[in-house]
Amino acid sequence: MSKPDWSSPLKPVFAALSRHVDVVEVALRELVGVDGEVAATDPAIRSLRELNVLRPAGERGYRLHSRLREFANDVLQIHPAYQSLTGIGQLVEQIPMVWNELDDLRVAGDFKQADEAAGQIEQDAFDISDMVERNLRLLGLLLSTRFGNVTSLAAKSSQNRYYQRQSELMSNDLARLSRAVERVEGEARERGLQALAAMLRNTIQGQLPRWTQTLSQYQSQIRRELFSMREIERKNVLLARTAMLLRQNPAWRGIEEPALSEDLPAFLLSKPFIGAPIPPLRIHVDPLDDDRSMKELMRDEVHSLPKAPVAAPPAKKAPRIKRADPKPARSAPETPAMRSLARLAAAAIAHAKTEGATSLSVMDWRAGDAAARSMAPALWLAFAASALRPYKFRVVLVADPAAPGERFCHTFSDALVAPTPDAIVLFKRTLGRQVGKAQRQSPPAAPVEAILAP
Amino acid sequence: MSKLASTLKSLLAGEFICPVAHPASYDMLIEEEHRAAAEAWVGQLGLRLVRLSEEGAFFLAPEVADAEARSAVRDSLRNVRATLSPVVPVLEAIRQAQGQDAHLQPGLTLWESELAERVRLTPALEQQVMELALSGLRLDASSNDRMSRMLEFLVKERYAVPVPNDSRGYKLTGKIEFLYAVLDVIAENTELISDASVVDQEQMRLPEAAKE
Repeated sequence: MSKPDWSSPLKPVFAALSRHVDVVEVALRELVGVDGEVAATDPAIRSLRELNVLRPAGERGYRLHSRLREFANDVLQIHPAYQSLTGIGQLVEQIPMVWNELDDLRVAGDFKQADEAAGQIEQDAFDISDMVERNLRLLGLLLSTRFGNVTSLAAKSSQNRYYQRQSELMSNDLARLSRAVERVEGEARERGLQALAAMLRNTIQGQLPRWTQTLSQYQSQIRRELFSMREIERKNVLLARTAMLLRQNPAWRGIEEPALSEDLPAFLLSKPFIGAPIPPLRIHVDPLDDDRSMKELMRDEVHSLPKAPVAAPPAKKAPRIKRADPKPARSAPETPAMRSLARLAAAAIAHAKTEGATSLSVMDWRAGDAAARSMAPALWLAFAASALRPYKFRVVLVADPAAPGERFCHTFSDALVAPTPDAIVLFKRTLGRQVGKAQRQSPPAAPVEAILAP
Repeated sequence: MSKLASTLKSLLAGEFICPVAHPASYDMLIEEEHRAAAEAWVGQLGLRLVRLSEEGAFFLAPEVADAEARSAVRDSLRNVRATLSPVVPVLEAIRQAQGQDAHLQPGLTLWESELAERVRLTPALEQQVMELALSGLRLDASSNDRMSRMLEFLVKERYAVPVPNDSRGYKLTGKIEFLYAVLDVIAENTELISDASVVDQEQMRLPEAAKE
């Protein structure tokens, strides 16, 4: 241990604090020397006690000097719950008091003492400024953590109320400070103490608007916190009372005549309360979507469908084939008229072969055919002309000359028939057979083969 | 599925979009631009996007409260027991099991083992829990089973969501604010609850200044 320098009364105190900093730190949080026997012999505790750094805490042990504790908290920015805002009230009262003294001393001519008093006022002003700043910082911190350093709801609301009172006190103090400093500053200017007046203006008056403003912001924030606390209490009470109501009144169904305001609150219109506002969504899958996941989804959808009733497999139909050639006379009935037609066709083909390109006259041919003659000439003409066309014969109507005074021909008296190559092929397959059959039944007619032979 | 789509679907399904139950959707809706998009969408359906409070959950309500909606509200209030039971008794029992200062608010985590332990240790509360009429529960089910069932019931009703890591923990969602709001309406309309002479001690102690 180095020999202490006794020339300064402070040095041994701070030296001891430094030497026994462990004990000091413990003492900051809790009592030390609780065990009396150990405390009596512990040199650290003894030396700190001698320097008045440790003060007795009742019978049980020792605690750190309260100002030291305050100092340590301030330096470390530790804010215990319910830490009070430092009161500036005393200092606020002190400034005018010292000022009065100063005034008296100046009147008495004791300028040395007066200067000391001015120094005191300056110190007080700086202290006030420091304390207010510190208080505001503390409040700001507590609000930013929403008083986070307490655990329970009750503690929280009680702390809120505590700081509301504290900040009200501080607000009053600031108002008093404003009045006091205004007076002192004014008088100091009158007395020609410009330096003192300027110091008060800079240190306090210049800052006051900001302080009051910040404080009132904090106060309204605390009020809001308190309000939300009250809301919480209210919600708890509501929950408990409603639960009790449901328990004790099993017959209670609801509110008989609810008083609904004109403007319904939105939550009463929400789905949990009155049901869905629109029917539930039914989503359909786009069958043309070729995304893989969509395809899988569709397959699953199909699998999940109920099985369709299985019908007997439909009888297999022959594939439809379109015939290259029309077959109009396939089912043509074997009437005398058809047989005559067949003979006419055969004659036309034969005629075309013998006479070159000249067409056969239907009416001329009729004159040589008994069956054809049995039909009326007009009927025969119309029948032959229209019936040969589907067999691909070229049929040209021989029109009568137009009636006198008219430009158009309205009637015809004959038709010229000429076979096309298609007609000859078709004839062999259709009408030719009828001719053959007819010849077998009636030998006198000319054999078709003979006609057809080149 | 885009975030907007899933948000809209949840909204249309009648969900309350809060930071606990639908964190992604909630984050999206608090952004001005996305909220405007969602509002435009539901507006086309004749609905509007509303919040339970300034910081509460989002949900849908009809744009206009027509006569039909009003009569539906009236009917629901006449038969409000169906809405309240058994969720209110369940929540009240949980609140008591949670401890003296408990406040059931969105984001609060409930631990099943902790609650069951409290119920076991508090005979009056255990009695209350045993009286709860929860469907699918045998009359002689233990209070542990009952607590488990109560929490599952809250999950089913979307008042809570399980904490992800299977620790039998549950977080309360923003829907509970909806329930408080309904309770408020009931209290205003029911003498049995809104007995003005019974003022909570806590409220008595509040300074007058706080009433601003």
